Amino acid sequence: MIKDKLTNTQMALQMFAAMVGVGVLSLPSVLVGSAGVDAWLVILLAGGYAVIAVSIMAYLGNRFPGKSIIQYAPLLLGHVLGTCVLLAFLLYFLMFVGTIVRMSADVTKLFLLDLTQVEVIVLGMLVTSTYLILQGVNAIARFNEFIQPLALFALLLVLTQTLRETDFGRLLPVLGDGIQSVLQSFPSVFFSLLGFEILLFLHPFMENPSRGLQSAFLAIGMTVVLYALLTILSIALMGAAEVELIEYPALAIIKSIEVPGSFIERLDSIMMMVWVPFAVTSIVMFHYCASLITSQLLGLQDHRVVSLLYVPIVFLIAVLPRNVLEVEKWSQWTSWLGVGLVSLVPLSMIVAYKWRARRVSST
Amino acid sequence: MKTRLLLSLCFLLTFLLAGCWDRVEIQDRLIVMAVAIDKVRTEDEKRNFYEFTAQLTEAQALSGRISTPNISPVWNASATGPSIFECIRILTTRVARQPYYDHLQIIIIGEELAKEGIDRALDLFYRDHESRPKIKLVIAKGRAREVLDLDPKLMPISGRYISTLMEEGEAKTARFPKTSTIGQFSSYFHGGANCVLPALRIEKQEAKMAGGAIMRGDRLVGWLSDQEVKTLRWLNGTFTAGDEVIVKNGSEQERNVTTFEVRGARSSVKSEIRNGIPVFTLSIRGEGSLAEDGFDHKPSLRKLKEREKEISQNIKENAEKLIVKMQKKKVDIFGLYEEMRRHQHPYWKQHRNNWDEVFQHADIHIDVVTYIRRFGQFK
Repeated sequence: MIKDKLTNTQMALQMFAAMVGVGVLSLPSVLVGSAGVDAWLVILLAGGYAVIAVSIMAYLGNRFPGKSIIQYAPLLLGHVLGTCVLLAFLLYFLMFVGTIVRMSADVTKLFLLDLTQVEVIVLGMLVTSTYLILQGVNAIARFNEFIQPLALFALLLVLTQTLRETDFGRLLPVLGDGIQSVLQSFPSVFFSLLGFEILLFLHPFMENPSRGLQSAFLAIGMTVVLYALLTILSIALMGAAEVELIEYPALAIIKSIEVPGSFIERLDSIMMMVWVPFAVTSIVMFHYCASLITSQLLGLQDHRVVSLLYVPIVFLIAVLPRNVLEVEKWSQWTSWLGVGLVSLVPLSMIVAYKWRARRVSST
Repeated sequence: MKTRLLLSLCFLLTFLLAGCWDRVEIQDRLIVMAVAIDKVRTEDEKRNFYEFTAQLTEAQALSGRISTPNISPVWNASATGPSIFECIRILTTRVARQPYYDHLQIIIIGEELAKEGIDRALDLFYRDHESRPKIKLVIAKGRAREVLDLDPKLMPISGRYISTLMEEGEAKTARFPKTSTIGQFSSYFHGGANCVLPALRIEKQEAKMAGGAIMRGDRLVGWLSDQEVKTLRWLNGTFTAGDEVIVKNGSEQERNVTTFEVRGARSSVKSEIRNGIPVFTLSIRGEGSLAEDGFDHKPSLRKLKEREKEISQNIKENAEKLIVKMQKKKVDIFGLYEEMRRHQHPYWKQHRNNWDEVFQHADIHIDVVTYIRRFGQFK
């Protein structure tokens, strides 16, 4: 049934694309707001948690070769509960796409398209991403394979320019407020790593499914390193108190670069250039998974019709919040839903699997 | 039919080739090079007015080519209003062209306003997406507007003149404070620390960067002289280039002067808590060369060591004087607050709100070592 195949690298980049999204710009601010100078430690911790969660997912995927969660969730959890779980995932993905699109549109409006209506920007992004989705998982993978390394490279290159004015002493003291505050801010930080759950849906597409875990580790590793790097640089350049106040620290640190005597005086345009593909690929991944769930639940051969039908729904979710703070609230609900799903569903499924296996072996 | 459709589509697509329709040509833009913000009192005290002056500059003038000599390429337009943004919009009612703040280089704040706090006035510049953290920030002695009204020699635009002055001065002397951009100020101020901003004195045809303005939080509480700023930069270890002249008390005929050209400095702080009082040890390391009046044309190791000791002693004395002065004022401009946050976190948490009092009684030791590496091509 499944014709498309993904290589290990493609899989890793798919997950990276889903994880790194709009959050890149504002992440350090959110992290520092909750964890102070120890923000980077929390990221590492969240990365550890993601690794555990993804290991469970890969384990499940390996037990059901050629099947994704859409097939084995009803098997493990029973038809009703399994479908409920999938519908929750569907809701989560659609909400996620909606809020991401809206957030990226807001940022784009603020920095690039001052006079364009938010609705138009949202539509532009959705049209682009939907076009890619219609081409199927292989096209998405090739697109990610092309754009992600390029964007990452450009971003890292620009970031090297910030090193001149850093004062890494600003990161001190490490664990000054004790480990407790780090643990407390853990839930709010974990949002930023959401996205790896697409492994549940894309695992059967892999050429070599047993290597899925490896790809997942690679993706989480890259994301964690990128996030930690951005956070550390932001704090080292501006100090924690300032980072907390700045809405988009990643952009602010790049705005503070001045390349002396150079033709390109401002590097923030490069940051925007890098950031737009990051946002769009996130949208693509989640939108694709949403249409995958629906089409397979309905027993359709193809995801295209569904993905087209979801465009207006996502558009509505994107334009409904009235202001940036409301968008933030929506995104927080979405994230809580996501964290709940990511933490509870694989765990309950593995319990169900073990229980079932024991019952089968005892009889 | 199909070809006709295709043709009409191609025809429609040509409209997209028109490019960006929100563009503003560069010759239509008025580039704002500098902004001056003052406080004005009016008869009705209900609205606390800012006087906002923008230096509007023709793009042509920046390149130095002015085709119509009768028309001035620079205009200092002022407006008063209760908020900076309103002032900018009021300006629009008087300036026929679109002011463009993307290339804003410097913000000058008047003394009166600085005494009442500058954070509110700068808020727009943190917030607006057009502005960058690299915009320079200067406190003027007197009214800020007068700085823009200067008619400097050699350079046609006063805002550019002051901005370049700061850059050049920074490279050659340590008489300006290191904190000189709104980004740096913001990170000090929001981090709860005090800082020293560059101060500017206005003369008829020139401006002089004259020491520093001591900011407690965002309020101006006093001035530092050139020499004190130099000492401050020794203490912060940011004395990257400049001179240190030491006058020794010789006899009437031969006043002995040693000029030390500083090439680099480093300072490190060690802190500890003794009997509930923070004790700091600042060790300053400086190196450079002798710029004038070597060793009576007979250099020797002993003499060189002596000079080094004299220089160190001198820096130490100045530093101690500055610290005592600041402790009397209860303003910590040495970044010791941040040092406490980093290395004495529990104590800092306890005393972060009454740091000024704690600082007043803090015990600060200074240890200076300087190295004279070379003395030029003449004995």
